[in-house]
Amino acid sequence: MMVDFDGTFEGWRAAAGRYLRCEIEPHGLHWPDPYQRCGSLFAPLGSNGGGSLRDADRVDPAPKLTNSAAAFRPLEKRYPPVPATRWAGFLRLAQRVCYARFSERFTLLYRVAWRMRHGEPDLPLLLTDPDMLAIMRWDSSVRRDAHKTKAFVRFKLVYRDRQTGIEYFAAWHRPQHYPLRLVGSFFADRFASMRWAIFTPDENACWDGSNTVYSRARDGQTLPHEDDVEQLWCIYYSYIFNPARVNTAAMQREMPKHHWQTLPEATVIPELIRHAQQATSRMQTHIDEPQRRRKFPVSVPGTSSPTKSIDQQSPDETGVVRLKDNPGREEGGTVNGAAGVN
Amino acid sequence: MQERRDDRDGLVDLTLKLAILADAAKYDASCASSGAKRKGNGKLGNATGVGICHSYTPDGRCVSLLKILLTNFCIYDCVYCVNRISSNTRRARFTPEEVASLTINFYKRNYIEGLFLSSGIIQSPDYTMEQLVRCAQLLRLEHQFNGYIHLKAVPEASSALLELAGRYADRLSANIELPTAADLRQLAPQKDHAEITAAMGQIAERIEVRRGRASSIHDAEKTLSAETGETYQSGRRAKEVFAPAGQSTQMIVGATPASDMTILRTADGLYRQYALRRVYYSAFSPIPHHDSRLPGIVPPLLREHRLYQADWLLRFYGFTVAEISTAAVSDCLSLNMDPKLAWALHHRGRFPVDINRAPRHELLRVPGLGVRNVDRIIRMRRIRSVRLEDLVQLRVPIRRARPFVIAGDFHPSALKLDQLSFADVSRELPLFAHLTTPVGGEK
Repeated sequence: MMVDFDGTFEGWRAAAGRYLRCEIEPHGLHWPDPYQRCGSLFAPLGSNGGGSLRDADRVDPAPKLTNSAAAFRPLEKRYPPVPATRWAGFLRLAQRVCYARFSERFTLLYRVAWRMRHGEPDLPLLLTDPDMLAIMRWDSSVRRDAHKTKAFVRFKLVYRDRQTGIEYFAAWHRPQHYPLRLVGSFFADRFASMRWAIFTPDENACWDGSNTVYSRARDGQTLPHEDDVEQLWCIYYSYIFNPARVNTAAMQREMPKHHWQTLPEATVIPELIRHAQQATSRMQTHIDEPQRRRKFPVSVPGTSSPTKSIDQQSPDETGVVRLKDNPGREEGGTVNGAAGVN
Repeated sequence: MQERRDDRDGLVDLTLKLAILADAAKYDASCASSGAKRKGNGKLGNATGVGICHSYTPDGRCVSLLKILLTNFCIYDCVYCVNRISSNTRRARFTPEEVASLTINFYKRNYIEGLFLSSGIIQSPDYTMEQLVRCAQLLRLEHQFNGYIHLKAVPEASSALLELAGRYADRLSANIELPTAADLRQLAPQKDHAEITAAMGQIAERIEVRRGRASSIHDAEKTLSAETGETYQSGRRAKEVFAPAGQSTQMIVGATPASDMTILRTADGLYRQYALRRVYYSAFSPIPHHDSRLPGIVPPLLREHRLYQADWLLRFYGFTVAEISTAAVSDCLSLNMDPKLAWALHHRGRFPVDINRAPRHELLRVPGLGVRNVDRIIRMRRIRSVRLEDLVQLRVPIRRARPFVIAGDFHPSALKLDQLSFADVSRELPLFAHLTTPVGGEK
């Protein structure tokens, strides 16, 4: 039986509760993956995604289910009740695991809930049970991904409304999982006075000043990629780095190359590493003498000088249309062309 | 377009200053932005309590704050410092407005969690501190910035300025600089160990008093609101806040011959006396324009790493400096193995530990078991016996831990514990993981 739900954690929880009450066994349910673009039943995510493409023939709606005598089998044996705290702990895990890029996640979560209700109320404590092990692995992976999303989203200033002073920012980010709904409130709280949108290959989040709205990703979305402050940021990044302590393995473990495409500072990394060895040996061998030259030129190595970039006003080769003068378009409209981010 | 051209000179100037003053700030090890928890103010910024590392530089270090000096002009002549008055380094100075606008611009783009502002000493300690406070004040009051601010507390600055600093900043730090007073006399003749610790004492006292007062006001307001039904007022409480993320300090390691145990004793004393959140150990790094009295060597990164491990043992694992020193060779930590393993090998009689029965403090002493896994084991063993295989699943470094534990299905031979050589077992990969990972202990 195909489960009808919107693909969010809240949707999974409501559906799972319904099926658990009806004693539907885990193997009898098929949970579709809402983020799978091909062959997905659901175009939108949640309630904000636009028109729904529900396939009435294949979806088994809940009311019908509860009325069906065949589907409803009362418990033959009394199992120990699951303490509320145990459920709460499990649901905290489930909230994150629901956003793992793993097509079996809903099935796995339902199976654990089922087992908890059928004689294994302490299952979430058995961290080495194969199901729990899988849940814990996905949980820590999603948790890390959500944390990295908070860290690595880089906003670019798209437009500043001269009258209201309100600034519109947009970011393009490539997460491993689907963490946007887990981090939306963080961004909303931190950047309340701004208007911002975060685009990912699967889903978008957009803050309008009072609500975070989620929508499904569209094809071919990229962002304008000009923001003067990025130059300053790259300067800062280059100079806060201590070439005497190069440890690129540590850097890449925490900041995988996967994310470099959306990090403005990543453009200067190769040059920094190349300079590091020379710079260190110069520092070590050189006892003070008047008028030493700097280790790096003041411009960011590997990029044009800041002076030059300020003059660069021509539309770029990738065909990105700049939207700074086009405030009326909504966040989805800030997208276009290539920019090499996907 | 015209407008942009006019801005150009300003931007080039700002770029140059940023390059100089970030370069000058990079020897400060701290970049932590954790420890303060504050909801957004509806404008810009919050503090989540957990630090976020927004980027990593090729040295593997985290970038979470805009870490700059207000100026690298300095009237002091500390031998280990690139900004000492006798150094030929290029000098620059930000205006407080520039600092505030850089912070805001970086913050809005999600590059940083906030500002860590330090400074060379210009004119006098008071004047310098006043300038630092001015930057924080601009951010808090004019820009209504609600993100993280870490200010350097200048020793010998007036207590009125310290008070203001603590009101605006989340964290304050007065650097201890070197492990002993004698080291400081030798390399930083104008600085005074007693003055530095006096500043720490002032900060510690204010933090403690305010915390007590803030919580009593909190309670009073709660009672009041319960009685009168009025909404909860936190305005008065906000005024009472002083450096909610506490204070930290930094010690340079390897610039003087001070031994590891001397360093740890100093650190331990500071933790106890001034309730510091962190002591940062900074391996002395060769600096440009360096003084010929200093070693021109590669920074002793492994030593720094061992010191951090020992520091963690002090703070989270219930070790004392005396205990750690039982495994030290000529007052220094072993570079070949981590200090916990070294200690365990000196106390083989206390092992093996039964992971299904031992109290938490004994589990914490088992090599390879971290705080988080110890707590997981304790939770699991309430349900059923914990086996060696469970440790594997929890990703405990099993080769290191196995000789020291009894598990549900496993008992090591006592003979083995005496015979084993741990030289290869103790090799950790990746070597500097803890330096780059915001682990649970980051506070």
